[in-house]
Order: sequence, then C-alpha cells, then structure tokens
Amino acid sequence: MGKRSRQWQANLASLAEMREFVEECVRTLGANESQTSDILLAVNEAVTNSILHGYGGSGPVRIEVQRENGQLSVSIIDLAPPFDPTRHTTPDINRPLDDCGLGGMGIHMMRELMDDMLYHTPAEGGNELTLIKHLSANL
Amino acid sequence: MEITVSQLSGRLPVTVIALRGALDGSNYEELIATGRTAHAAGAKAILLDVAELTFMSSAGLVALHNLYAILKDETEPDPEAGWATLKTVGNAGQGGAQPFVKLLNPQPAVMRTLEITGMNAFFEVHTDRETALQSF
Repeated sequence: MGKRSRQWQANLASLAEMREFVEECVRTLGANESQTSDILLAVNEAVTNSILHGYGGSGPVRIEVQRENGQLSVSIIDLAPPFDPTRHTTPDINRPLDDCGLGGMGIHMMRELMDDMLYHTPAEGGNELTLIKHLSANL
Repeated sequence: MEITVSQLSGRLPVTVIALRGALDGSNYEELIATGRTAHAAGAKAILLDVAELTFMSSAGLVALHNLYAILKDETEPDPEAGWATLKTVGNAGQGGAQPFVKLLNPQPAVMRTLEITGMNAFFEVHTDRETALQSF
C-alpha cells in the first residue's frame, strides 16, 4: 500500500488537524481503536516537541504514514536543528521524577506507546523520526 | 476544547470543570486560567469532568498539575519544566493521591495518558459523580 503524506506550516494550533490526518490514515490502514489512540498520542508528542523545542513555535512539518510487513509507521519530518530523541534518557516514573523537561516527558510517552522509534538526519538536514506500531502483535 | 464551570456541593463545595474535545499544547493554558479564576473565587476542590474529553497529551498533565498547585496554594510551576513540574505531585503522591483535584469518567484514551506517565497514582479517578463529590 502506498505512502500517504501531508505537510504543514505547523504551530500548536495545527495539532488537531494533524491528528485528524493521522487518524484517518491509520484507521484506513487497519489500526484498531487502542492502536489508533496510542499512535495519535505519540505523534502528537513528537510534533509538539518539533514545534516547541525544534522551531520555538512554528515551522514546516511533514507527516508520512505507511503500512509495511504488518507494521504501521508514521514519520515526522522537520527542518529544525538536529535532535535525536532515541538517545534521550528515559525518566523513571517510579522514582521521584527526573528533571528532564516537558520534551522529555513526551519522549517517554512515545517510547511507552509505540513498539519502535527510529531516528535519522536526512541529507538535506532537519530530523526524521519514525514511530512504529506492530499491528499483528496487538490484534 | 469547551470548558464549562459549575458549583456543586458534596460534604464541601466542589467546583466542577467539564472539558469537551481535546486537551493539548494549543489550549492547556485555558484550563490553567480557569483553575486560577476558580481559586480566586474561593474554590478549594476541583472535580474535572472529562467524560467528553477525547484526547489528552502531556500538556494536559501539566495543566492538571498546575490546578493542583493552585489549589494547594503552591507557587505555580513553569509548564516548560515538564517532569519537574510534576515532581511535587509525585512527592505528595507517595502517600496516595492528592485531595485537591480529581477526575470523573475519563475515556480510555485519557486514562492511557495518565497510566503511562504514572499520574493515575496522583489523580483520583471516579466513575460516579455523587461518589466523586462526596469524596472531597
């Protein structure tokens, strides 16, 4: 099945529309209720981090959604300064909470919600973060 | 997100804040402002009716924590501090949930946000309005 993508000049007011786009895509591609809910929350956190911490308020963000080999992947691509969230320390929520910023909380949530998280810096710069959900494992 | 505020009585007066729609980074400050206004009008307890809240991000958790801090008469934390803003809730929660801000009827998606961050330990969740009101 083909990849679906859309780009925004994103700010925090764009979040609802971006979630709507992702929801429509992942439901069409076979995600169930809880998988859809997890993906929406994870994507929301990733995009929020890009907008707030990458751009400081607003900037171009592209979202690509595809299904391949039983897994759904959602890529969030921006042109913000490189930041690899997969190398960010996870706070331990069972201990007195770690001081790692609001972005850190979002990263923790992405890890909990998704099965895998891949990062790379595209040749043209910026960031590409891919959030992966295994559909078969949760059906 | 629509916010509706009402005053109800249990054993104590309770300010019920009903949320409808999605709570995210674009509007969490509206909820904090509502809490501030309620506190200025004398609110000591807030029941958040989230039955019609379909989505809550980490920004929503920050708003919940700010409501707690407002009612506890603590200095309001800087929302940007993230986990640090939740630290005082974490400490308070070592003896169970705090008594100032409680939730009514969260949908699964909202419950998920609370659970994956451990915040369900600090915000009491009720499924019956009368029981929730009487719990304050």
